[in-house]
Amino acid sequence: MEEFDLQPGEHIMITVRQHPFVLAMRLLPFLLLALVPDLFGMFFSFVGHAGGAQTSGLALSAGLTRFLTGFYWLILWIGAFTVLTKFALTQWIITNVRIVDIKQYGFFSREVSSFLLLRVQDVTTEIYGVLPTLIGYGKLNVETAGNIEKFTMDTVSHPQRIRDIIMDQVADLHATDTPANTDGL
Amino acid sequence: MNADTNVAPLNPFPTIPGNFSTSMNTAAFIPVVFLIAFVIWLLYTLVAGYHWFRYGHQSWLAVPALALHIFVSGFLMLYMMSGLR
Repeated sequence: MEEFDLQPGEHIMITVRQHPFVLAMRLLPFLLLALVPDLFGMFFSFVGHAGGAQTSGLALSAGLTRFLTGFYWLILWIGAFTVLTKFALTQWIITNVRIVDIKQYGFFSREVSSFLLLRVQDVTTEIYGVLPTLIGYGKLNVETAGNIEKFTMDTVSHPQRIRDIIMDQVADLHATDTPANTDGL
Repeated sequence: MNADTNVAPLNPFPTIPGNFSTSMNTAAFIPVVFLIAFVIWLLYTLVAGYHWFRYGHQSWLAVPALALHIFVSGFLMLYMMSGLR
């Protein structure tokens, strides 16, 4: 792991990603677009039955239709897999010492930042709307001391639980503020 | 008057037989399109695999995800070629 190496005594407490419902919503347009060739087929079939032999000139050969449909679906699949990759590689890694914020914007476009839990001043959660309330996802804001810096992760699963984990660990660190927690990081 | 009846009428827009045109175009462009699609897919798969293994942080999801990608893509490419001879 070249992006960040765990220090002696440091261990990962939880890895946080966005809620799977968000992934499903992002994949939904690809699913709908994948149905377009079938809708076209149904449409031309209907027009063919209604118009008789006059519309037969619009039809491509079956092999060519399969080829173009498969090509179209392959492009859609590549787009959907890119969404899945970005979803999986965007994450927060919370250790007992710090939070590592990894944002994957696209291929070869990535941002990694980390901050010590000892610097955390405030953790807030925001859950707005019916679906986020029912399904259980929302925004998590972590404000750090020193400079005015705010780390945000949108649409994470169960933000209250993550907030509790962070605040518990922050309290533990402040209670046992030993040099091992601050040296070398 | 007999000479007039033997002359074929002029056709200002001569047409190429439809079957000939379609078969020639299809035969010419399908291998090229497939080759381009395969090269793009191969590059994409290499890049995606690099990101999954490099930045996945030992995630158990990397291998199943790439296996799914290769399986679905392979199926679609076979589907593309299945109707052609």
